[in-house]
Amino acid sequence: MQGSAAGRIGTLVRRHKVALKSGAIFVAAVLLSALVYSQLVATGLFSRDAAFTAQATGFFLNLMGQSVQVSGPTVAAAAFSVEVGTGCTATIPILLFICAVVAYPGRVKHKLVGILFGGVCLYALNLVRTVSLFLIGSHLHSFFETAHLLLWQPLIILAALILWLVWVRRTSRVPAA
Amino acid sequence: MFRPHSLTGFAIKAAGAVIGLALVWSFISPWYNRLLVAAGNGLSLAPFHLTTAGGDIYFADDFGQLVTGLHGAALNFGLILLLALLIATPGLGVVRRLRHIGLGLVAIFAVQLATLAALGGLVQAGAGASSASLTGVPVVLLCTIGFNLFPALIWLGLCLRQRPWQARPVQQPAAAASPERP
Repeated sequence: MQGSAAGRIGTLVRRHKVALKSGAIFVAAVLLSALVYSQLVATGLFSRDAAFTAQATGFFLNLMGQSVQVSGPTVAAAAFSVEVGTGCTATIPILLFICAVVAYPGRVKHKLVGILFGGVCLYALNLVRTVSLFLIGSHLHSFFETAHLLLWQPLIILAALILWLVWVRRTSRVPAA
Repeated sequence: MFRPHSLTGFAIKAAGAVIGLALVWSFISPWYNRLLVAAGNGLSLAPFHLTTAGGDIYFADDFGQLVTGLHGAALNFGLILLLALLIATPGLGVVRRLRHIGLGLVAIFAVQLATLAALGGLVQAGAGASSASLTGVPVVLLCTIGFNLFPALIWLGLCLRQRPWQARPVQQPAAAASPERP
């Protein structure tokens, strides 16, 4: 019986070798990301990222005719101000996207292109998020918390997932060398 | 003939579902958080007594003093994402979709309870109260990354057979596949 069970497990492992390998790489990548992220937070790197995101948000808001002032991570108008926290940057979605791309089997070149494309898309989408949240906070304040936590947070992770699915599909079409 | 599932259609449906669910969930959230808190207290998962106030979840000590809190909506967005993904997944029948939604809700509820228990443990250790401690690897893994990752992982686990990332064969009607010749 034991031999039979071991044989079945062996067969399953052989059959799903690629998927198991991808899963293991993904788990390792996520663990490494958590380790690196926790170290980098202490260096203040993400605070600078938050300040940069605030600057970019302020730039686009001013382009749209909202006269806002940016000071560090804070974007402020006469009636409303918001602080861009480290969790409000595109870092986590981009990290998860990178982990997923690295784990899925494919050529290094395709992975680099995917990471670059996905990273830029997620960063741009996060700017849409921060700009729209500021506008919601300014003009529809009662809806701000819902939009901030219940609407945009799932949407940005959904975007990361969709971008990964798009990348996987495009990568799968490329014939192996 | 192969025709891939439309990722655009999936993305639009999922985004639409997120918007709809977020609007509805803002009303349901306080009740759901009460259920979560009752389950957490019933199972004595967290070293603190859990309580809700204003839709948020708080850890209270033996004297009823609120030690620290968690934004209720922050805990719930994963549930919205998971439900939206399950609603939008192509190729699922009604029964299987409902079964997946049930399983997904149980899984995400368990994840949320585990999160509360872990955060309670961190608060008790004196680590969770300060913002500096939020840089710890377990907290980053559980909250910063986990909040975002677990819904997608649960969805992938439930819908692995649908393989939404792959092109799937489309069954052509017999007449269209082999037209009769005169």
